[in-house]
Amino acid sequence: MKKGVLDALVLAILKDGDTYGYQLAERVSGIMEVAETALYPVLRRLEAQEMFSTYSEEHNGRLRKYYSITKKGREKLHESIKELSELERIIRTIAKGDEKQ
Amino acid sequence: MTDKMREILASIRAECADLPEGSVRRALEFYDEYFADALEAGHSEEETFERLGGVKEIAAQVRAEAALSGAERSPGPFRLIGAGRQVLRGLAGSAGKFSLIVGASIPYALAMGLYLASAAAFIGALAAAALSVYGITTIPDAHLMSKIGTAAFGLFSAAVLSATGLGLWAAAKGITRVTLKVLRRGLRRDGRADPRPAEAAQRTGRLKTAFVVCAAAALAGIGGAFPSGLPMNRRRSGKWN
Repeated sequence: MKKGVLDALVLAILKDGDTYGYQLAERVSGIMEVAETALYPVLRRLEAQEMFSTYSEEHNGRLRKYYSITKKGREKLHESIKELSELERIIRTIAKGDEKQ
Repeated sequence: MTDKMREILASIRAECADLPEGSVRRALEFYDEYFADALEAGHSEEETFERLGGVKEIAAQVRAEAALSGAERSPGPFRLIGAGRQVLRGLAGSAGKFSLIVGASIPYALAMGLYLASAAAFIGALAAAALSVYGITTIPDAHLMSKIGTAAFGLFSAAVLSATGLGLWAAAKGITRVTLKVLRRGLRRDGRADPRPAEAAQRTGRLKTAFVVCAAAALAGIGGAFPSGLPMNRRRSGKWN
């Protein structure tokens, strides 16, 4: 059921603005329960699929890597939202059946 | 970077020593930055380290990611075996491990079977080519028709078997991609990522019990059939009467 939800959530957060690894993890874990180590493989894969690009900026004397959503990432997010809306409609129908009983 | 962070990163590096340098470097850069940002946000290294699940958990995820990425870039039998091993290692102690084994075993076995069949076809093609060479070099010219026939048969068989081998290999690669998707999904839905890990563990326990009961019933059925003899033996021994 959670297939693709984490990917979509990461892309949705990036759509609001560029962010870095730790901040992204904080925002994800504030919305859904997920092992923090699960974020690294997701970021690696989304980066390989060119769903976002990266750049580094200096911060407190060190480099911090920022993630920035690409056009491909926005399209993927749009697709995921459509799929999840369909899923939401099914869940509402199931829940309605449960309420009637 | 603090001494504690250096120590943690060195431990991760040691755990991933056999991985490609690029995969390890990228992971260490990510976690180095992660620890530094967590520290700035007021969380101690110990606290962040605990939240991440420790060196073994971090290394297992890095290993699984490296194996899956490598297999996705160029699917093949050895990379598929490696990815399967690393993902299961990454899910050690997780409630999702058993259901992943059940879900991935069919495409995994199918892909490996196709790779084996493809290898057999290529070996057959080599044998057929050798037969063709044998025909040309050893059959005397006096038996020209036999010579031409053997050579043509060998070449034709080699061509057919090579084409079959290539087709099977392509099919195996396609199934490998499907298997890798199943493995990746299993990795993403690891035990701690599940919102109800206790219930998931109970569900897995019930699945395991059902599996063991079914296997025991099947074995008992087979075992029960043998002491009294198979149906045809029973007929011969007159037990039908």
